[in-house]
Amino acid sequence: MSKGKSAEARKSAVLQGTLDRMVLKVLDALGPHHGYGAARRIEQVSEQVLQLNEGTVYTSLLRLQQRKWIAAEWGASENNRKAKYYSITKSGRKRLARETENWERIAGVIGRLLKLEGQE
Amino acid sequence: MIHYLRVMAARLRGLFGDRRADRELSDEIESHLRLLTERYVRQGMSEDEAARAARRQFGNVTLLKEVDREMRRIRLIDTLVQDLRFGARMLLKHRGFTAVAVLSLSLGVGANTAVFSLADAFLWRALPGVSNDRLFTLAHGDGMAWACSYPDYVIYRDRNQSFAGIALYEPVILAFGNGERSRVVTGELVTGNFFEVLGVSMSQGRAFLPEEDRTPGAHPVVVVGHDFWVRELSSDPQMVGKSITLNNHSFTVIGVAAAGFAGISNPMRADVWVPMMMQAVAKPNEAVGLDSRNLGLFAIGRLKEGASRAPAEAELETINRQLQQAYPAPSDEEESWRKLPLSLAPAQGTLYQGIRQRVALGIALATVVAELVLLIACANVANLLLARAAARYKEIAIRLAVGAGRLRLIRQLLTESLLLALLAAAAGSLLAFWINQLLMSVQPALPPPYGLNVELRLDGRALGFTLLLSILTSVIFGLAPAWAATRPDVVPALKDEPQTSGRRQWLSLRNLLVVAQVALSLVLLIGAGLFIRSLRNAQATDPGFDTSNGLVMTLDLSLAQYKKERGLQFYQQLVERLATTPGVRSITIANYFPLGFGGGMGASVSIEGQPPPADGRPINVVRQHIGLRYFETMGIPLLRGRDFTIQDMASSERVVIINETMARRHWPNLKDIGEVIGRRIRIGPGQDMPWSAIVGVAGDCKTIWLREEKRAGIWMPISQNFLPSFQALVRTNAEDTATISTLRREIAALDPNLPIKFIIPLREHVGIQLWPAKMIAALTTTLGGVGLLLAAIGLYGVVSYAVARRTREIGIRMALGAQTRDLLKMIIKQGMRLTLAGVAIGLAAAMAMTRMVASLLYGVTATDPVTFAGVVIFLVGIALLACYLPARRATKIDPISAARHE
Repeated sequence: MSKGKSAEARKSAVLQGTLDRMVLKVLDALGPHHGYGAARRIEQVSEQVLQLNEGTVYTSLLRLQQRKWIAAEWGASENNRKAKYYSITKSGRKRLARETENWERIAGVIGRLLKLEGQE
Repeated sequence: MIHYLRVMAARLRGLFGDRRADRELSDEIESHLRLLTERYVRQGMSEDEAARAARRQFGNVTLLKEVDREMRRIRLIDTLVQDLRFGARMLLKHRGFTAVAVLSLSLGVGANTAVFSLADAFLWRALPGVSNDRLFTLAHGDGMAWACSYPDYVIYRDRNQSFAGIALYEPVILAFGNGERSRVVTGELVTGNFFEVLGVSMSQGRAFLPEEDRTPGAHPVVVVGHDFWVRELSSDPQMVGKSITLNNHSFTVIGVAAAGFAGISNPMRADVWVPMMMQAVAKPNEAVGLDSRNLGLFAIGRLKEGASRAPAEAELETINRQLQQAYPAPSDEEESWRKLPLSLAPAQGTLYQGIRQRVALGIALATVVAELVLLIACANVANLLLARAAARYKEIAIRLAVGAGRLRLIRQLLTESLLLALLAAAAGSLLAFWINQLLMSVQPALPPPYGLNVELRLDGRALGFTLLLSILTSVIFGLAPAWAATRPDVVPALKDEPQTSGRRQWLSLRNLLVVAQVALSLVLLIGAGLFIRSLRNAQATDPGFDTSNGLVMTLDLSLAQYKKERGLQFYQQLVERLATTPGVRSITIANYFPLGFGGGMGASVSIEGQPPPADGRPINVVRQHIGLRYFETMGIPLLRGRDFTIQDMASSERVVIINETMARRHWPNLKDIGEVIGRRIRIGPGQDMPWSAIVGVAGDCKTIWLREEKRAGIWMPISQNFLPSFQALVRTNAEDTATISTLRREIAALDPNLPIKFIIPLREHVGIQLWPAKMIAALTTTLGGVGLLLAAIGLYGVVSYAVARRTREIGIRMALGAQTRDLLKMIIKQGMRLTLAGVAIGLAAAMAMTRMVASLLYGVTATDPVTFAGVVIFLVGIALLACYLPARRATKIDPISAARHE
């Protein structure tokens, strides 16, 4: 955790991109989730990313939606409340496959995600 | 359709902020926060602490919502750029289609833009060189210009509270300069506050001082225009303080107006401005002085800051009524005229109500025509788009099947239409520019200051109008094809099945469009036909005198301050001198000649031995004051009696010549009209006017207007009724510039200070009144032709398309032994069915619409069967050709490959 604003900004940009990827990963590996559920999964997997506010998950979700990599659908949540569920699309899976190759080299957070996939 | 509108609405919502998406996001955030709070509560925090922690963990909600909104918006713009790029590629790929579509559209758009600039020049354009804020002309309620007398003006000016200033003005023709350089200029006679009210500044010197417009005749000062200063005064930098000669009087130049100001007598340009108090010099012909209540002058005023139009009008009306009570009207006619309420009209375009009204009618007609052409063009382009979409149906079907939104596809097709429209806007502007140049060049070639200086400009507003119109039309012609092409019944298309045929297909959109095109073209062409016949009739009208080989000179002796004695002497000298000039066959003078700009003089007469008419209204006739040898020179037959002689001119015995219509109308019981010779009439309204003896009866001729009915007319010797303003008809061997210079030289030799207003060939003089008819005929014919061309292209396209679709069927028929003739008949019949449907609709529409222009027609009725029939035959002929060409192509099809075609 470095101090200094520009470093923060850079870090948050990188982490935003990482967040997009992580959301895709979660939806791909673990099926459809709503926003809160996705945030919880990501929290389980990495503590560093949680330095970002949870609200940013929704920005990721919107970006991914616009790119048609995920799709949204209204459904009932665990306690029968109306919630918006997100699921990965075919083009999203293709994209993920391509990205995953690039990230295999980086250890840490991503490594754990990949291990997660291997477990399930 | 409803569904589509809903989808459209959603798109617009997205562009301006999608509330539903906002709300959904809010809901999501809310439930997320709730879940987080519950989690923290489970972990042991209190409700409040948990809520706060949840908020902290979540982050800035407002910022998040803002960012999300921005992202949605940007995405929309992204796809638009994508659409534009794709659309541009498609247009470049199908160059032929693009060319025809852009050409068709630009014809329609260009025509409309040209009409717009016409309307702008006459109706809306701000007066140049003037600050237009709160500037109004004073008019009567029905739009007629308000003619105010000077004493009344003073009362209005001093009693009102709403105006910062009111000025009076009147256009005048003045003689400028002396000696060799004497010529005529247009000026304006104005009150001293004129420049102040208009907000016009001086480039040199100053405007009028209040005392310069107080006492009649005391201050001969003048402000000259910038152009005039450059043109006539050689841009003399020391001009202020020097004098110029106007109407043989010396006027001191006190200022040069700012460049760009040319008076407010649009479309004529004024060169000089003279104080109203110099009226006696500037208008020596004026019978009444400034102090008379019978003098009519125009008024223009600027409202005070914060004053509004309606209360100002009411205030003027109040003062008007006060005046009416103080000074009762001298006659019933004057009374009723005064009762018209006053109103304020924004000072824009031309302030001459007479011109305004006539032009407005012409513009309305031109607009209708231009709109019709635009509609035809749109139909053409829509048809082209439909044809192309049909050709791409496989591609569209596949895209729909894999889930591309129909909305998205429609949006992309519409973007292509928009690109077409933008190209058409550019091309249309060029066309409009060219049309404007053409219209400006066909203005009657009259010398200044009589020539109309109509400036048709393509300024920002016209171009903006073009753009707007193009975009609007792109929606109109693009919508239907885009919607039709993306219909979701994709399965047959994917399976490569031929499109369904049968009756339903016959009623297809494309066919309907062509029917509409044919109908519209028919209406246009019938209009053109009627106007052409009107023009021909007008041109063929016998004016009653010889119109070949002559020059008409117009002069005004009052400009050189002539009085009666000297004037009559001048007439004599002029006739004598010119009669002996080489190249001149004969010459005669009159106070005005028939036709020309129109306008004439009348008189009321009473007939000796006959009681006054039963209905109390006086007998009104047209009168002319003529010189010697008038009838001979004009080529008007003298039926009975004799012409005026030198003795008549010299004596004070009053004589008169009447025309045939008058003789027959007012002495109906004579066996021979010659019997009126010797009888007497009294000319003039009073009981104590002298009697005039009839010495001759002349043939009828047109007196003022080309289209007038026969009317009673009298001729009087010019010597017995002197008027300083006159015209001379000079019969010459040639009408060239050499002859004109000769005439000018002779006049200058007689009096170097007398300017000639203008000299034009007799044929042009007679033709002036034909000019509006020529314009209308030219306009409707051109645009009608354009419309027909577009409709023919449309018909050709539809028949070609039908042939292409039925290629297989045609091949089979040929293989089974069908003759060329039968095939031709079959295909042409299909096309002609559409044509005849269009003709039927067009005839009905034409019958209804031509009634509206009946007043513009001359010699033909609005439902003239010859014109209607002729146009129908012509149009059907063109349509046959348009159907025949593709039909012929069909017969050249190789039956074997056709049978395999799908």
